[in-house]
Amino acid sequence: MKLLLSLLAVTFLTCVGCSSGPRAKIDTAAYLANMPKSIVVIQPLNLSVQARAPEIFLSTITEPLAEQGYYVFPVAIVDTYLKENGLPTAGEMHQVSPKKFAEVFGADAVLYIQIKTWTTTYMVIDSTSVVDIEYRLVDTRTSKVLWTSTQAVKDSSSDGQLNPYAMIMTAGFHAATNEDNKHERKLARIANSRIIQDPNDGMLIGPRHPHYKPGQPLRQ
Amino acid sequence: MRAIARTSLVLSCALIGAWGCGGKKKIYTWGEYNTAVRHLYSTAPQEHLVKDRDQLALQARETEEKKKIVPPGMYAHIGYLCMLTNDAQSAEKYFMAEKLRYPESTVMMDTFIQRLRAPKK
Repeated sequence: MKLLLSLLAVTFLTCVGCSSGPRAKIDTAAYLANMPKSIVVIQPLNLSVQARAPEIFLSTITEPLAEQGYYVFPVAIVDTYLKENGLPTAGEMHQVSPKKFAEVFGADAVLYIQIKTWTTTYMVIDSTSVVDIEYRLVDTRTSKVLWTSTQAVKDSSSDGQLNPYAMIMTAGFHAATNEDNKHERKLARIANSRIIQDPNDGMLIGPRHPHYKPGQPLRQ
Repeated sequence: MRAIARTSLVLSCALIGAWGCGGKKKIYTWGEYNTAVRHLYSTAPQEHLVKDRDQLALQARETEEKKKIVPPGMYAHIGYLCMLTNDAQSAEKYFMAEKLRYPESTVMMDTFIQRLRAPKK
């Protein structure tokens, strides 16, 4: 029993949130010239098989964005407002001109998200959660793309495991404890933090960040 | 006795220091805000409305009392929960708080305040 508990403990300590590095592109001159004070995040486009992925994702994006120094409009209120005003789906929201978000919300930029993968797959000796997300920050006044990046994050219950019995136990535990997409939510939080706050490819720090200096392309 | 007290103090400081290390210091106090947002998208959001409204309102008060910062959007979210639980007066109060604390939200908060004040048809 003690051995089993130890094996279970070791599993959850290993390799949570393994990821490939972000693939990013930034227009530094445009970003600095149009440094947004405020960002509106709209419902992500969903290319995954999990229908609830966009709504679950929305609860994970505000914190890393705000901690990077931006005012983030309350995501749930924005989402409801758009749905009540003729834009019931993410597809329709993504078709709206960025200028409209400046007009309606007073937003300086829109963060467009595309969820490419959002799954937990259970295969007896392994339960693996994967999220793969693309981010695009667009200035509302000029419609210029200031920054884009993509991040995939994976968490596999069998990583670091050699004992098949332990692998079966931890895979079952991992899959059974995924209420309300808990594992994908955790990975989305990891992906968001890593991609937004990456020291080389992340978003620049914004005006509400304590280290912000106007005109300087600084990152955390 | 003094030696024990001194050792305990040193150990406590070391533990607190270790706890503080390893994570960046956050600008804001997040508490249950992200969870409350997630609850609005749950299969039964109405079950969480009152509890989340009251919990976030208390959290906001305590954050202010400790001179820490309520995160962007949280006052507005509390206001929205007040709207959904038919407390328009409190809703307006929280939308005004969001606008005062975060002037970036002025256009949006003014829209919602006008909506609250508009005569019902």
